[in-house]
Amino acid sequence: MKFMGYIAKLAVLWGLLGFCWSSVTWAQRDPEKAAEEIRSLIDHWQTDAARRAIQPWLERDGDAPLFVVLNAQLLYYEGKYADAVSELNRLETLTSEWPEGLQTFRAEVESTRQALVGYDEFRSENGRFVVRYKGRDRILLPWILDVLQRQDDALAAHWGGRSEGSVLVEIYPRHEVLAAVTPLTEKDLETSGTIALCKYNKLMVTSPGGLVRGYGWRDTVAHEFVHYYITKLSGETVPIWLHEGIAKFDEAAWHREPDSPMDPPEEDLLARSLEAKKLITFEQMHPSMAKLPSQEAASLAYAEVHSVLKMLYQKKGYDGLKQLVQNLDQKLPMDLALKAVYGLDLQSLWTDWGKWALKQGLHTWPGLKHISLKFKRPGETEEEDDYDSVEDKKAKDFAKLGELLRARERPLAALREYEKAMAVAGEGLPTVQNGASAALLSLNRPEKVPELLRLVRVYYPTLVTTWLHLGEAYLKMGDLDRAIEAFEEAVGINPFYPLPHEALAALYTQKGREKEASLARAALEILK
Amino acid sequence: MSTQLLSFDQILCALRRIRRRGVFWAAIKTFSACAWSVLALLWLFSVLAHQWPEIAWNRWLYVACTVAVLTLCCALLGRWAWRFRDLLTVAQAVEAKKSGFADGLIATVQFSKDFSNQHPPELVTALAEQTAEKLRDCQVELHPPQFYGRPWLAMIALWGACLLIPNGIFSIHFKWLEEQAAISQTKHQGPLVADLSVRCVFPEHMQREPRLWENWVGDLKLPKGAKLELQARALEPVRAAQIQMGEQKIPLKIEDERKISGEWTLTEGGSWGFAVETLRGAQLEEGNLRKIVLEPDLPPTVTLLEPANDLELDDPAQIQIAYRAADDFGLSRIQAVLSLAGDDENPTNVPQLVELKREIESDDRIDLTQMDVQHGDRLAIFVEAFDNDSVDGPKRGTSVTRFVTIRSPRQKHHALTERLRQWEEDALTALANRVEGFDAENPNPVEPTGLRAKLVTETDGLSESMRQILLELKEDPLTAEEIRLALLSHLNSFDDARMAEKSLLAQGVKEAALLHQNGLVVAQLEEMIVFLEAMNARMALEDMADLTRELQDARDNLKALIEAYRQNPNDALKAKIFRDIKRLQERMEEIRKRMAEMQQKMPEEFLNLDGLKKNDLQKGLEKSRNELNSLEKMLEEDRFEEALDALDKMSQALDELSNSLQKDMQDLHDETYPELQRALSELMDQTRDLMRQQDEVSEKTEALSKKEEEAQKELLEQELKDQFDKLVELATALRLEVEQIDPDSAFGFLQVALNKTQLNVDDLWNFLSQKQPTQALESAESALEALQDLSNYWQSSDRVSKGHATRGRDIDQEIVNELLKLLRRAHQKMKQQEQGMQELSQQQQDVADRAERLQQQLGEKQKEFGEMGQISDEPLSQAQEAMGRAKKRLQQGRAGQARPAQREASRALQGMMESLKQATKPQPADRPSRSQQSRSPAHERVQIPSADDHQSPEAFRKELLDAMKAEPVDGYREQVKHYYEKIIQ
Repeated sequence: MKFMGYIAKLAVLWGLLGFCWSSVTWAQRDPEKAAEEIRSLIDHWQTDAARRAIQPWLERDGDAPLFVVLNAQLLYYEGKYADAVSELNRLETLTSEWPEGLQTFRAEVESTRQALVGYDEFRSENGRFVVRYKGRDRILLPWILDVLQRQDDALAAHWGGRSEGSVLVEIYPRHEVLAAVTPLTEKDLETSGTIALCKYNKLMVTSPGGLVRGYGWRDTVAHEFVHYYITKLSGETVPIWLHEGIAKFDEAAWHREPDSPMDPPEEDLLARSLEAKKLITFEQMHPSMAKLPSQEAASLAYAEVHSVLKMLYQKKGYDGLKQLVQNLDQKLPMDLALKAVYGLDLQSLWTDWGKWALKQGLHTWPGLKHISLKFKRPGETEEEDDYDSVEDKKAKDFAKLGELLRARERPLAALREYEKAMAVAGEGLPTVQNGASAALLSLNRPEKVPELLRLVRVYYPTLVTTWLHLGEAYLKMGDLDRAIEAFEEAVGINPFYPLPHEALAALYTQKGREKEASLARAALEILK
Repeated sequence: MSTQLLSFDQILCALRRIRRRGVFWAAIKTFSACAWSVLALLWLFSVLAHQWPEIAWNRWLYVACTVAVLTLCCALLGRWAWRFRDLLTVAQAVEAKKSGFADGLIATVQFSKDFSNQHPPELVTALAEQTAEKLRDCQVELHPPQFYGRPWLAMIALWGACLLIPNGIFSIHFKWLEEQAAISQTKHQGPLVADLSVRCVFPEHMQREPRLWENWVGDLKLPKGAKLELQARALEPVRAAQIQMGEQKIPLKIEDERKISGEWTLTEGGSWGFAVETLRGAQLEEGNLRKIVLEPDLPPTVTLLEPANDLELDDPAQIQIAYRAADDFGLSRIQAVLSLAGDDENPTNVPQLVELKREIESDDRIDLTQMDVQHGDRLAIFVEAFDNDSVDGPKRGTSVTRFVTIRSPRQKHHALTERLRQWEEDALTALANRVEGFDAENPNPVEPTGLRAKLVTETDGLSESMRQILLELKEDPLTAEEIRLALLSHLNSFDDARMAEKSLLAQGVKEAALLHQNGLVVAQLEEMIVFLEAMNARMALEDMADLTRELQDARDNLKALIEAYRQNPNDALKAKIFRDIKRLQERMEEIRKRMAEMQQKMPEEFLNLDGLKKNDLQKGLEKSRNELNSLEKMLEEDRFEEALDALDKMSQALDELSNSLQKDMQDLHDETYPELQRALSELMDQTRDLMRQQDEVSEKTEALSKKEEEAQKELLEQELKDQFDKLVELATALRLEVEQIDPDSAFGFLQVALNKTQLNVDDLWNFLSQKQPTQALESAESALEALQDLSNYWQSSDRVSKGHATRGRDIDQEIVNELLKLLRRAHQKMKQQEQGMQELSQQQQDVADRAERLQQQLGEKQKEFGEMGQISDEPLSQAQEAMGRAKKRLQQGRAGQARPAQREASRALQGMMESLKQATKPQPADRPSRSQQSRSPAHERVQIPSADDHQSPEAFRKELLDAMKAEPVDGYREQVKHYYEKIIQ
């Protein structure tokens, strides 16, 4: 008993000593080191961990400029722009010595804050996604959350787990806003066709309403989400070509199996470029795909890196890719990181890929034309009529006549003109085929439409008119499932057309899918 | 007995005292009430008279009312007081007020009257004493009736206070009564004067003779400003007199206490009368006033006879006006007033030089150029006339305003473009009818024969309407000729197909053939529609570009005006600036509307053109238009720099738009004519190659020429030195001879020849000094020709000059021979150069051959593409000709002399290149600038040249002389010679 009492007293004594020691060590802990750790967490977008790490320091000495700066950066990465600005303003009162680049950072933060004035915020039920949007873009919410959730599940499976915390997604009505909140200029965006970015721990996406024809925004959101995952895993250690390659490779994970075949436009571009030996090198892709000189160059770059990733995946699957990313995160040089997994350095990778790609049997698609993304300018209508894809003048003239006649409700005459255009220039002309489809629908001959649009659908999967015509045709033919698919594709490109929502509301109801039907009706309300 | 009496006396005295007191106070109150009533009546009458002065509020009425009130009050008082005549009544009243008496007082009074033995005396005595005692102790007042209450005193005090308030309402009313009293005091019903005569002198502008009214009694109607001289005789002696007319009081002169005279100038109408002061001091005024009514002087009436309605003019040069103006008394000035619609502050007045009478009818032709009127402007025009009113100043009368619109060619052009658009619509219908009509899948098939007839009629109508449009397009200066020609070409092809179809129909051929022909007609319709789409877009762009150019011109003009105003501020310039600002705003609005219109009407694909997509440009124009408002303010405040800066900023939007439009037109042109563009590109490539080749040959020739010269020089300095020295001597001698020719004796052609000789001889000497035999030879040959002419044509009478000329000719001939020999020798010694020359000559020939092939290709392309018709192949012909000369020189071994021809060839090829480049661009109509549009040639100032203007500039004369020195082109020697001969004839 006496002994137990003695032991108990000793234990208490040691406990006290331990407590004192930890206090002392805490007091003596190096702020610079702590800041370094916090910075690293922020660079890895581990904002929750960074917040946990920085909070004691802020409580202890909230006026220490070092931590004020970090806190401002962290707040910015947490999406709390007004707080970040306040913190930076507070810094002004604390010190006049500002590190290089901080003024620029403040300007960026302020610019972001101003750009997002008037935005609404929606948090998903599970709190995983926070979506900021403005006005009519709330129409995207149900679909974007669906894509994000499915992509999250797929990526978690591919990359070994979900990241901590919420994912912030900002949807901008126009690309000018994207330019305002990033270091890119409007010209950069328009030239390269960049419509979304993943940076500063968030996904930044231009609304499909900001483009004349809309675009395949679902895959784009999914693509940026992949970047999010990779950055969380590796900070900024992964080079741009690999980052984009992985993103491109995995962007369709939410609805397709890995290593699915390339889309024809991508395949066609890559095949032609391989044949002509005109490729974009990895160095040229640096520092960003958005800095490439044209949309075609950017598309080619994406096609290349996609193809490279296909090759790497076929070698060692996701495990290999994960290992590679981890090696890079460990700050291994690229050559070593590659060698450790695939036995190749970068130069060899490039060479090997070139040979591999040529063996893949990539083929060109005759008649396929590269159609650029068209950003809307103030006051522009959403007309999609565009003769860019028709090169031959005669064909263009016939197409034009078809449009003129169709506008004057002479569908039979219009159809004949379109047929003349097709006879000259073939069948892969979106304007012509869609015009002819519209004429056929007016003539109540929907059965011919799917075959007519077969090639256009493959060549130009992001042309909303094609899907609208297909949907209408299937609807008239009574093929409800295909009609739903087609209208859903249309929404996935440009949800600001009322027609697909009207049709889907009715179709979902007929199919007993009431929840989706009500979403469609809600979308119609928003569009009114 | 005595005690009783005493008590009774006491009681009765007391009662009497009570009665007296009661009556006294009742009287006070009664008269107070009367006074209130009187004052109230007074106030009431004042208010009534003030409100309704036209009613004669007679003071007797007031007095009567006052008396009535007084009487009433006195009656009431008397009636009340009469009641208390009997003391018994007083006692009853006292007892009614004081209950302690228990009828004792009444009884006492009774007993005092009837003192008898019916009642025990002690009782009566005791009663009397008791009653007297009680009466002594009580205070009783008799009250008058209810309405005599105390509040009346307060009311009186209040009224009294109101009277004391200055300018108070009551004072005003009371004052009126005073005045009325005063007035009524002096009014005199009848006349105060007799033998009244009035002489009226009318205002000058009325041009009326003075008029006299004697023994005037009635009213007069006279104009304002009339001077009235009156004379009258007072009915009784007076010491002062005046005329009262409203507020006006005009003093009059008195003579002999009776004669009254005076004058005054009429300024207003009204009633007037005499007022006199009699010798007794009485102030009298006439009650029956006389009336003067003012005769009005009306403003002039103006009727605009011509233009009778609003007009539209094509030529903004002159406008005919006719008008009629009339005034009751006469006109002083008439002018036509013109202003730009909406700019009334800056009118232009055109005085009318007419004889001014009461009625005028005249016309005039007004020159609109003085207003810088431009097409599209809208003018407001009216005529105003002023009368000759010398009293109140001239009154103004105006005619109706007519609006004159100066038609703009643009309006007609727009109308034509609308018709073209409509034609396109009709053509689309016809196309659809033809395509669907015979289609097997037509859900509504029509019987073929009837259908064909309908279709043929339809296309006939289209053809006819297009022909008509094309005729009008020919007169339209705003439509490019190439558009019209291209449309005509399409129409002709369309007509060919159409006529062929008609012919087949007439022949009754098989259905298949008719269907085939239908297809050909359809094809032509398709081409026309597609072409017309593009041309509509192009014309719209050209319109926009034209409007933009106009804006730019207007802006530049405005800048210049502001600069001028800054140097020399004056109102006329300022008015012009403000007018131009307004115009600029209108043009901007026009262009903005036009852009909006075009965005609705243009084919959608053309809406993708950057120039039109940029709504920010429209906004920029809107902003600029608003900024022009502040421009006026800046100019008012002399802030010229700011105004000019504002104009510069506005320019940026315009320049951007202009550049965008140019680019769009080019893009459209490229899109519309891709094969043409390709053909032109090919031709340009070939021309470029040709130019390069020519440059190569020229460079080699230059190098060879230099080599040749150096070799020659070396040769001449060493081997042929002696010969050369001899030549120099000869040249010196020649020079001497020529210097000795008397220039004064040469005239006309000889003067020219002499000048040529002198120049060439100088050059010869110089070239020989510099050891340049080739150039020396050229000069010698040129001089020889001239000397030959001098020698042949000089007058024989002037032997000296003729002699010098002849000797000079001989020396020069020798020089030429020697030079030729020298050059031959030099040439022989430089054989190695010869081969190079031959090669070069061959190369030059090759280039010439290529130029010829290019010319042939151009011809072929021009046949294929009518639009290339305007490209001239003349530069290629010139280039070939020059190359030929260069080749010849090279063959002759004269590389140096080949160079000028080669340079000429290069220039010609450059010209060809420019023509081809120009052909790649759309050729807009040659639209005149607005300033050119606004003036018809007949009205432009004609500059009459003065004597100094007739002098040709020195540079031109030198050029002419230099040209004379040059060797005439082969085949033109005789022509040149004849030209000089003609000069002297």
